[in-house]
Amino acid sequence: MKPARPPVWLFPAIAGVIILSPFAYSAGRFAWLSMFPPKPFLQASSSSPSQRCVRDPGWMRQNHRVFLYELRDKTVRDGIRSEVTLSSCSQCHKDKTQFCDKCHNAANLHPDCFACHFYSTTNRPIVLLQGGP
Amino acid sequence: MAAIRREAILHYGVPRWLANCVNQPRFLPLLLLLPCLLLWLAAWVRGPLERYFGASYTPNHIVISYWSQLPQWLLIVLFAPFVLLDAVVLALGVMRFWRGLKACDREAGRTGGGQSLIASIRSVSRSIILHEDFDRCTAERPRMNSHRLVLFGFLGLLVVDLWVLTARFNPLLRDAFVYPFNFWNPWKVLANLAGGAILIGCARMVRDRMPRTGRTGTLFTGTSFDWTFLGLAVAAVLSGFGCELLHYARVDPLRYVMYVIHLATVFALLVLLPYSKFAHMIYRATAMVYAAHSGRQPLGGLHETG
Repeated sequence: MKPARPPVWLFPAIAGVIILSPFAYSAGRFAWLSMFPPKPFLQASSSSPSQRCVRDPGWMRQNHRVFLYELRDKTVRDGIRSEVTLSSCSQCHKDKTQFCDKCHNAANLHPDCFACHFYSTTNRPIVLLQGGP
Repeated sequence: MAAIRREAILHYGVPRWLANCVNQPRFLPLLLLLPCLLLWLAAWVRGPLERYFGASYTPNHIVISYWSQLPQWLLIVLFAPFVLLDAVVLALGVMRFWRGLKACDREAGRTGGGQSLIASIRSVSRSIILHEDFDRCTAERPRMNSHRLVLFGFLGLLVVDLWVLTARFNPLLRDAFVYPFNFWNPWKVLANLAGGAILIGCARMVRDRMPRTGRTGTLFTGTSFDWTFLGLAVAAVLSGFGCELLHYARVDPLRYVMYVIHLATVFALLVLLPYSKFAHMIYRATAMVYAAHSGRQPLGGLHETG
């Protein structure tokens, strides 16, 4: 006896559930976050109130990538060195794992800044390949 | 059936010379080269355009472009006019097709007797989703699952694309970060499953379309009309997966090359929609709606295969 064929609605029903499930996830996430807003998990700045970020912190949170790229272009391409460097960030935000990595990891982003740059907390540029002391 | 479908698409495609070109293999390299040139031109004018409008490239905090040389706004500006043109060409084609079907019925003296237009659209949508016609055709039933995989795969990708494209206006997202997705994000999972479904469906279709000798001794090889669409669909999905893998592996110059290939194949697939086999989803649906609306009965013993 031939096995019974699955009902014709089964395939579209499974496909429909798979296609619609991300909507359910996003709507559920939206409702959850509306009820329980997330607490900021960025490490608080250790600077004194007189010290401020070089730009508005809200703007920096979204656009620090552009800001750093502009700094890089000015330095590398135009030869204009700024006093602001990655080390400046680390003066207030000491812990890279909390300040940079936590967000990047959450968003699955892997910027290659630190393949070359060292996140110094001493405000002294680390000079590599200097040829000895 | 395939030959009639091909002729209908070629006949109703406007302009007709473009429809003929799209379906000739010798023009295929040109059709892929054209989007590559357009993308290169778009990347080239990006800087001057941004300077002219006094803006610099700033990644949108909801959607960060895959490649800063081809930001999202530039791709939307490039693709949107062609997609609108597609919609106009398809609407014109469908109207001519509908008038043709009506004129044919009038000549044969057949009048009315079917469902209302809304009821016809509803019953045909149900029939397409369930693949009822495919299910009735015993000879072609093995092809039903391939067709379902490709159809629902494309639907899944359409939904994900619309989610990203409309992210800025989506009230559910507000300031949430959307793109690039995390690998385990349900939207990414849906995109990967949909891509996999299209790939499996297309592989089964390729297997079914391999040259074979029929019962009457005729050699079936398929037409370039079928193979072009199948090839473009496979190329678009494979290059999409290629982009994803190269992105995760951070193979920097190559992932941008793959991205351009992906965009070029997607461009060819979407922009040439009214002239390729892709258009059958519109014309076939129109014919089914007309049949239900006019009360036409299927020919005895000749069930169509979707």
